[in-house]
Amino acid sequence: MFKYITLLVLGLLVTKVQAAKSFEVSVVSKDNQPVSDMVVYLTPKFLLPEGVRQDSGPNETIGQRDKKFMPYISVVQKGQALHFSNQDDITHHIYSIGGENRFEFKLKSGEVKQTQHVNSAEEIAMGCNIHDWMSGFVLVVDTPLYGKTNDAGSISFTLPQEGDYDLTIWHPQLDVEGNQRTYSLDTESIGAARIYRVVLEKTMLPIPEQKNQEEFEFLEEY
Amino acid sequence: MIKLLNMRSLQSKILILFIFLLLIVQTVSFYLTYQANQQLDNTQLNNRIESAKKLFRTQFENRRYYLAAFAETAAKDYGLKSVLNEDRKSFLVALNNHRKRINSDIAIAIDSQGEILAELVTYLSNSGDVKVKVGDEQGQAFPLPSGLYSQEQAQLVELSGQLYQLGMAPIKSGSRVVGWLGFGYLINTQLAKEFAELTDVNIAFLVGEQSNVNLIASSRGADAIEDIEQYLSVLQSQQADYIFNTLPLGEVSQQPLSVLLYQSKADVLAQAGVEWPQLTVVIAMTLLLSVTGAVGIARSITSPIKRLLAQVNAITHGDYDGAVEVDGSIELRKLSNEFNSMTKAIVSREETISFQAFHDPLSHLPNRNSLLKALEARQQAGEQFLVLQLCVLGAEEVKDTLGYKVGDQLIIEVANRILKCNLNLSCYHLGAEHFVLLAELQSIDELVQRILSDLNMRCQYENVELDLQFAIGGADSSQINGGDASELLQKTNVALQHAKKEKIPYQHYQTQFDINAMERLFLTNSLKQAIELNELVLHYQPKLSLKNMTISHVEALVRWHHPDKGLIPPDAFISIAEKTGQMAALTRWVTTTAVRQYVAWREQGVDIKVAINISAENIKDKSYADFVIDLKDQYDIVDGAITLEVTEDAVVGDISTATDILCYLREHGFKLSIDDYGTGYSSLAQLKHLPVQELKVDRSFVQHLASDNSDKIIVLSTIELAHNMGLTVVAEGIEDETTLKWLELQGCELAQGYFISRPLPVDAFDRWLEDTIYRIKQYEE
Repeated sequence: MFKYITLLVLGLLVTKVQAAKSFEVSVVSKDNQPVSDMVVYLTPKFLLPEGVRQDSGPNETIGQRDKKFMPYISVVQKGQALHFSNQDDITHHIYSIGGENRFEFKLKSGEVKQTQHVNSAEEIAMGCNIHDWMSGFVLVVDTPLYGKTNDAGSISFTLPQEGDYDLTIWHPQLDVEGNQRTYSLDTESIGAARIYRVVLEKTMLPIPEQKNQEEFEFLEEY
Repeated sequence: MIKLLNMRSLQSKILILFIFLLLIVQTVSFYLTYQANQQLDNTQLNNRIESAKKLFRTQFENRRYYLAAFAETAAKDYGLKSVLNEDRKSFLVALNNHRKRINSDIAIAIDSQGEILAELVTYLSNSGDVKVKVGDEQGQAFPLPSGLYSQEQAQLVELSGQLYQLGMAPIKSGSRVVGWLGFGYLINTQLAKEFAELTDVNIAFLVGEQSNVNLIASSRGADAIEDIEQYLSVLQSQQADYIFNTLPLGEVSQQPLSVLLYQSKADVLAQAGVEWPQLTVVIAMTLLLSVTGAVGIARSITSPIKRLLAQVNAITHGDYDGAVEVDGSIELRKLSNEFNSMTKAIVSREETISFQAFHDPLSHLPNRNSLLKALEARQQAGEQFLVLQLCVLGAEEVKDTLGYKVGDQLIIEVANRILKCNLNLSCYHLGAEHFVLLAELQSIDELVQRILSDLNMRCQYENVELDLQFAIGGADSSQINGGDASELLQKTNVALQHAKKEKIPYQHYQTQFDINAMERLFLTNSLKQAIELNELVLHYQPKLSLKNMTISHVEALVRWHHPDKGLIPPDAFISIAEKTGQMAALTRWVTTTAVRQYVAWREQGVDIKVAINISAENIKDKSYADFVIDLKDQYDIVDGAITLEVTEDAVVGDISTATDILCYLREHGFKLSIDDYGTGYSSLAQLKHLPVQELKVDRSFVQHLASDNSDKIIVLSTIELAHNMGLTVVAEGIEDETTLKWLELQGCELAQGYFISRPLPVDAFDRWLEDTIYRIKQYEE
């Protein structure tokens, strides 16, 4: 919510300099179905003005609910901290062992935790050492222009200015190398509709269900 | 044993058959056993390899599972996970902690890019301890493509020059795979040995396909290279010294890795070979027992046969007493029973034969064989006894007139009567009408009288009354003259013949009978020789023609000048010549000689006709007639010059043939004369048909003519009868002048007798002719 406001404010600011341009990305599968929760971010090929380089707004909190990471995928800009909130009645031992942004901590029921700032733009794969099936991802991006597609598979950006961008889509189950695709585009030539349409060539891999696969159902009763 | 090996004997044949059959059975059974064993060996071997393969597969799979499970456990260990991206040393230590827990030969961690983050391998230090070091490939790319890691198969990888079986598991951060963890064991000789011990077959690990394989490791160490060569040759040629089986394990550097499980058949056969001596012993024992059994069976079959054979031998030698009892098979028992009854039949038949041999078939009285035995027995016992030979007179005629049946009845009747007379006689039947009686030495006349009185009963047969007459010849044991008992029989025969001849009922043997008989026998043998050696001579007795007192005829009489015995009279040998069939030869000699003499006289101018005596033989067929006719023609003798004198009896025998022959002779110019007229039984009726010209009155009527009136009547009536029938008359036996004168007066034509001259040899006769008072008939000039 804050983010939108920020964008709005930013938009107003940009408008001051140059009329802010809206831009929409729509991601559909090859059979033309909308793909939601796809991370989309735009990396300008030019230097953005100082004011719009850093999105300092508060981040989405990564909750643990029903022994799941909620949301499954989060996206943050480099330099921000991650916020965790244990909404279950048991303790979680959250970790990420790969890459530069490694962390691990225990989060008791009802506690919240803010990590250190993540300074490396990369994928953070998270797990719970207690609940093996729990899986969550955070993509750290080095651009303020990022978001996830909504249920209709689309996401709107307000561009600080027209120009050449790299449009990148990322999803852990995107069945390509590095789980991401990047498209180069010139926003001025994308047409009056201002919609950039991404059609996935492959079907998305199934999202691992964050659910206890074992037979020990008694855990549910805790 | 030599007896056993006699190939022709039944026993050895049975034995050989048994052994032969036994060998066949044993060979077949042995062959089948051998085949079955071979098959069993192969099956067992195959089964062994098969089960070894299963065991190996299970074990190898278990190891893989064990490794993978451990890898998975380790990969989920947060302690390890959390230091994955920390400093390398810490991670290696943590990794080794896990490695030690399962004592794996390798522990390895790979990052999500396929780079080997950490590699720990064990090695044998110089001191023999197992130590751990960082592997050569750490920091390099893992040789397997990441897609293969998670496959269920064993992960086979070659690292640091060693081949490992790896179990791998992903290291996850949440659901994101951030790396791989692997633990593994070496695939090396030690492993092969462990598996070999476990499965009990040889194990070799091979890399490569088909014939292009490399040995990685083997339970047999260096020897395995030869095994593999063998394996390759088996692959090519199916030789079966080894049994093989392979199991694919996976791939190493795109080359298939497989395990070869094999076992040498020789090992198995070597184990089986332990049984060979036992088998040989069993075969030998079986053979021995069977041969013993076969010998037993063969003996049990042949021993009854041998007993039968022995019995046959006994019977051959005349011993019928033994009976054979054979306790063999039904057939053999039957044979022995048949054999025994055959023996009985032979005995009974032999008794019959022997009875027949010693008894007369008609009267059933003991025969001559028995008699000879009895005589011999009595002689040897030194007994004094009588032998009587009895002949039923007229039995021959009874047979001829009333038939054989009656003849036989007669003989049987006589035999019965002899048996009935209670005189303590042993009776024997020599055959036909001859019987012999043996009696104690006693008064012979009395005995003969009693015998004859018992036998001389009338015998009636089918209304024919037969009056039986007997003649008996006897001899006693004292008369045996150095010979055996059969000599007595001969003597009684001689006595019997004498009794028959003298027509007396009994004649006891006298020595001179025998001498006569012996002489006769002697003459019989030498008469033939006499003819050949010219010992015979002719004497001539002149006949006086009473009408003119002229010597006109002569009778040729044969004499035998025996070199030892001197002159033998004709009575002594003529009858023998007749009986022995030598009469023809004798007559021919006489005829020829007489004819030649006639011719000789004719040449001297003396006309003396010759009379020759011929016998009944000479007028039975034409042969003599032709002979004498030829002779007459040959010497050109006039008709009537030769007179042939035939006795009445000779003519009477077969009168029609005799008549024919006589007619034939007369036609050819011979004068025929009836000799010894008056002694025979010829009837005048028969005489009248005979073509004779002369009657010769027998000397018995003439000798006493001068003093006997009845003789005169007979002679006179004979002369008258002859003259009335146109026959001339010759009187022979004239011994005085009175008789001669009387005959001359009665008109008798010729006279012959000692009064005129006795028969003379030719030279004496010639001298007599010169000296005689009578005229000699001369050929007219």
